[in-house]
Order: sequence, then C-alpha cells, then structure tokens
Amino acid sequence: MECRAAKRLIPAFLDGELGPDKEELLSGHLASCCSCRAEMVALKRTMDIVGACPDLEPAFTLADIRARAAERQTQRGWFLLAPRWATALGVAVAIFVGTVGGIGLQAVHQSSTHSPAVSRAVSDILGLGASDDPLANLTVASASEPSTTPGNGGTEGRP
Amino acid sequence: MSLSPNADAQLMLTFQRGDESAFAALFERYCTRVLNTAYHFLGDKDAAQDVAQDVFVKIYTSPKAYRPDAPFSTWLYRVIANACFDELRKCKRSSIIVPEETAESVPDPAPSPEAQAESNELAREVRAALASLPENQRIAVVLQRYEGLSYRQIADVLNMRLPAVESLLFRAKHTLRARLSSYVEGDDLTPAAEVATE
Ligand SMILES: [Zn+2]
Repeated sequence: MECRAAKRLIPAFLDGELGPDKEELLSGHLASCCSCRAEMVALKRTMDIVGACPDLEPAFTLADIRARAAERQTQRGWFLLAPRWATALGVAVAIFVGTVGGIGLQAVHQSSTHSPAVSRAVSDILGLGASDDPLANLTVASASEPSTTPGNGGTEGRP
Repeated sequence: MSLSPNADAQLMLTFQRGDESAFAALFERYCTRVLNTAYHFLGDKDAAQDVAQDVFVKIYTSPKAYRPDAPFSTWLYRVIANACFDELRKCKRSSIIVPEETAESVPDPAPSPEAQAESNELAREVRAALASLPENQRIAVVLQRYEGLSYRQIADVLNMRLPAVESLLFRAKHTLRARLSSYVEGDDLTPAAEVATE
C-alpha cells in the first residue's frame, strides 16, 4: 500500500469504520511507515481537541417549548383568520349602519305623520311603556337638535 | 439513554395520538443533544438555544411529520440539520464565533487562569475551524464526533451514500487538522493535508 492510499484510510480507521480487509492492509503499512504513523497520531490529537469542546446546558424548559408553540399557533391562527375576520367585521358594520341609519331616517320621515296608534304598537312589540316610545323619542331628539340644513332634520351623522 | 430506538419511535407515535407525556419524555431524552448539535454546528450559544427550541416546537406542532419508516433519532437529526442550515442562510451566523467565556463546563474543576484562558482560546479556535467547513462537512463532523453517529447513520440523516460520507469526513478532518496544527503537540503538519485538497 502506498502512503497516499494509506493516508486516505486513516480517518475511517481512527473512527473504527474501516472493514477488516482494509484495516489489515493499513495496519501492515503503518507498522513500517513512520510518516503515516505520525499522520495518524496528529489526526487523532486534532480530533481529540475538537471533541473536547465544551457542551452547553439548555437554557429552556418544556414549558418554554409549549409557550413558544402556543405563540406560533396563535400567530398562525390570526394570520389564517385575519381575512375572514375583516370580512365578517365589515359586513357586521354595514348591517348595523344600514339598520340603525335606516330606522333613524324612517323615523324622521315618519315623525310628522306617524299616529299614536303606530307608536303604541311598536312600543308593545318592543315591550316598552308608553313613555318609552322609540319613535317618539327619536322625533323629540331630532326636533331638539339645532337644524343646520333645512329639510334634513339635523339627522346627519347619526347612526 | 436507556431507551431503545424502537422506544423512541413508539413515544413519537404515542405523541401523535395526543399523549403529551410522550413528548415530555422525548424532550427530556433529546434536549441536550439537540441543543449541542446546533451549538457545535453554529458556534453561537444564543443561536443554538433558539434553534434547539424551534426544533422542539416543530415537532410539537407538527408531530405527523414523523413517519415510522425511519428511526426517530435519524429523523430528529435531519430536522436539526435542516434547522441549522436554515439558520446559517438566514443570519449568516457561520462567521459568528463565540468570543468569550466559551467554556460552560470546564473539565478541570479549578483551572488556573492560564489554563482557563488557554482552554477558551482553544475552544474558540475549534469553533473557528468548524465554522470554516462547508455545511455538509460540518454537520457530518458534528454528528460523528459529538453525537457519536456511525458513518451509516450519518448517511441516513443526510440522505447520502456511504462513500460520500466517508469523503466528506475525510476532507473535513484534514481541513481541521491543518487549521489546528499549531495546537497539536509535535505536529509539523506532514504532507497528509495535501491529500485532502486533491
Ligand atoms: Zn506511509
């Protein structure tokens, strides 16, 4: 065996990874070649130095892993839900504005025409007393506000 | 370390069915190894602590990623290796070498200041030498030297053929040998290193 081939086998030899045939060949060469023996010793020392590098102790616990996992899942959850939530919120706001605004406008339009009978019927349905007449209250409120625009009844900006 | 590889796989499968205590057992068993694989690869304490936690978080949140066709430890080292490669690419931390108080656990219980300084310097040099290796060579050395994996196991982790792993380790060890020659007693760097460069 030539030195070049022998040196190629030295790392695996030191790691106990050479098959018996190659190991026998290399052993024969090492017995008679001091250059390859020196190489083997130097590599062994080098890898001993590398292996002696100190270990770290974990600075985290199982609880930290669970907390980090929960955090990641929450982030992922928000990320996935964000578009749906935004849509849902937009729809809800639109319905609210539409409904309440609609009632308000309707009340203004009807304020001069709705009869006490209608008012009472609405109050009955909503389970309110006569003094809690919602339509009457709306009418009173709109009437008491300063009207800046004729015909608008001062209801601009109300929900 | 008293559990068999089969027991690890069994624990992982138990965790896949929702038993958290199985995850706790795996964490207990592999925590230090995951951390130190990352540490010896990255050479940076904070990055290693972070990557190790991320590895466990990945396992915790995606347990189904493990399939029992490979030993649990093979799969785990693959997850660690990928996390380390990602970290290198993300932060270019390959050049970060722990600059001070490297020795967390010094073998000598009461080292002299000189011995301590020498040990720190040597540890820094070893990290610098490891950091100079290409990532595949580096992970192969870490798995072999620090984790005690066989060449066959390393081949499985890295999804390589056995001769490729032999070649990786040969080149890696000769680079380390050349870089650390001044710390090796009586080493005048014989021509062996030339072989590695061919
Ligand atoms: Zn020779």
